[in-house]
Amino acid sequence: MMAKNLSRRDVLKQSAAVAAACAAGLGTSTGCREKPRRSATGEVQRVIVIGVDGMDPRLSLAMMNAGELPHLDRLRKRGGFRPLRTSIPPQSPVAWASFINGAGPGSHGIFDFIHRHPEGQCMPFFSAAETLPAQGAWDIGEHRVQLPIWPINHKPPGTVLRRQGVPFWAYLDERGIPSTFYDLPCDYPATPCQHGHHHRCLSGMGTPDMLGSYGTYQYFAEDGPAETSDEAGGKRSRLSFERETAKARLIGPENTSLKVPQPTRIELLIHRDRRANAAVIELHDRKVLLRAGQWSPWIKLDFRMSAPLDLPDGRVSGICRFLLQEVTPNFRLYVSPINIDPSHPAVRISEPAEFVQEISSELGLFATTGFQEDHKALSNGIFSEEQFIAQAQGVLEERLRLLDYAMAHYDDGVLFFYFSSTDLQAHMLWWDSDKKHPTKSAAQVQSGFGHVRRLYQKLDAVVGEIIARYDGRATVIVMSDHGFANFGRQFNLNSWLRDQGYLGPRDCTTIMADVDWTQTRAYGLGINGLYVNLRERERDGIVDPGQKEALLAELVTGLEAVRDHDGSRVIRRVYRADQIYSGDATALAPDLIVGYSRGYRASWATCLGGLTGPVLMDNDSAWSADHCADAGEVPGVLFSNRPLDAQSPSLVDVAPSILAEFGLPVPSSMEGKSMFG
Amino acid sequence: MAKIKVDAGLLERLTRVAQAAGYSSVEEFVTHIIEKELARVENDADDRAAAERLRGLGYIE
Repeated sequence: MMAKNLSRRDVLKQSAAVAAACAAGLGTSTGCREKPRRSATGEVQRVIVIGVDGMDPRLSLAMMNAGELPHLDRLRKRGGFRPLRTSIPPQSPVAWASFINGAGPGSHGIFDFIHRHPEGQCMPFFSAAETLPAQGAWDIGEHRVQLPIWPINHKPPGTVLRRQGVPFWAYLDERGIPSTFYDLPCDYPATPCQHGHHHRCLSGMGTPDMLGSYGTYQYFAEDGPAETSDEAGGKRSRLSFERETAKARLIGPENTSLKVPQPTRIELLIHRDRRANAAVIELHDRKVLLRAGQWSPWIKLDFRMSAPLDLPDGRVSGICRFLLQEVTPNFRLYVSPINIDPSHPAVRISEPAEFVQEISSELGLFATTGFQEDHKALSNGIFSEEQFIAQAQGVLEERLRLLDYAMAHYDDGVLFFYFSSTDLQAHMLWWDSDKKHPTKSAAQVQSGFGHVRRLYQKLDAVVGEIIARYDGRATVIVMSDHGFANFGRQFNLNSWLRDQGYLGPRDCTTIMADVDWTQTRAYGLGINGLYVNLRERERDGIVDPGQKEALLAELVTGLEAVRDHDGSRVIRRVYRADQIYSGDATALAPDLIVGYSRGYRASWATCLGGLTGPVLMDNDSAWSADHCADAGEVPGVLFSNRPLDAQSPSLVDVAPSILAEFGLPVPSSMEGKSMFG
Repeated sequence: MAKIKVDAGLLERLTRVAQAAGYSSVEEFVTHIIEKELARVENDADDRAAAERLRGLGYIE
């Protein structure tokens, strides 16, 4: 059992000792799963891939040139650095799916964060994983029971992975080459192992919280609303103290076995001590003491699910953290999204299912949601920027402990480890030009961007430790899925379509409710997608298939001609899906993909079909940087400890390169090729 | 089983359509259209819930 308080360098040294012992045929207490794989020349074959979401090549180059990223710079000087061409569009689920398949969206079927089913017109769902409702049930009293056994064959609700095609690890798995992935985006629910037990994966981006959302915080304050109110990413409630004690209720997962599903709840008792500037939170049999400004550790939550007849109630476990933000004059308590408990997961979040529990048995409790940095709390004014940075730092520290675990348990084969920090922190803190920030002062901009730079330096140091340990003994790849750019101006695609006469009526506020489909030839949904309202495809389609070609040409010309009030080009390029995607998985592709110029992105409202009066507006959100622009504006990074032969490598080249390192041929399902000579 | 009152004019229309569409009875026809409408409303509710969940993604308001 690894001691929890070893430094990373100690862990890496210990791993070296274990590996050496294994090679010498000696047993050790940390154990080797099997003998390390060796090539024909006797070398152990290892490929380590560090995924650093959103790491940007322009910033990386500037910092390397300034001597601020010495370890990455050393790789560059050895010929191991290139910008990495990203996906169209450069959104994380699209990009990581392309990495997984070694092929583009036509192979994996993910084109945006948001898709729609054409038979449902524009009703959206999360592209990478879709939750399907139950089918069939028996009503027993207040409950609705599914019996998924023959011949009744009811189907309980469930989530289905929508990423299609063959992931690259399947080819490794077939040959008995182990692969282990930590926090892998776009693999929830985790792909089952096909050929044996050589593949392990802890699901990352796309993993929901216990409410089935992508992260819903709960906020309790004396000045909160009288009735609990919902906002994007959170819930707000009022606390009323009586003699320094207040009651609150944490909202948990819905009990879907009820005919009318109701959320479960956990009662909290909060005792305030103004003199001590502290509070005690009572829940279950536990008392959590916090001073103002203090975070709790992860706390287990036990949700009771009532069952019909005399069956025992079900129980599901979640975990959360509390931040006591203020005791006086206005008591404020933040509760993190309720994460799936890694020690007792309510749903499967790893492959094999027990993998996450193995990790938890050593590391204890840790965040399991796909999006762990609570940017919504910052956007909605629950967090100050300092509180967001502190929370995000906590996420990074937890990830680094997971990395220690990953390294300590790595023998050979492929190891993939993912960092979200450079993406989710950059969304809130990045601003890299002298252009005036829409809401922040120059000093605030400098402070925020300074934090991003320090983050890059921290990750450079992590890479340095990995290289020090594995250089000459493993191929190490450090990659990102896309880069970053300011998001200063927002473009409402649906409003533009309205103003150009493609969408009606003129007073439409959202395509989800008051659009007139008989007047609408095209609509926007998702961050980069435009759909023709095509007859025989869309439920309420009106455009004749014979007119689609002309309409697309007209839209491309019109969009690429859009200019901002200062003459800036808003849209760098518009792509036709039928010209850039190939493969069997194009059924849900938008017709056009809008590639915004640097500094621009789709507006907040238009992504889920909302319209605004103006077409172009400042972005005054705390989320002031993004990457959902044209792919050419935001390439990612590629570093390696091996010289790179490819001059302009792409995301889809990484998987073929990994296979080639193990002497495997590039399968015909892949579009890329090896980046190494 | 619960009973629902409808006015005579509506009943006449239901009877006529049920016969023309080949239903074995007015009751069968009425049950079918209620089930269809319920499924539509429930699907709409699921769709709205899915849209609300998507609002938790940082990329969307």
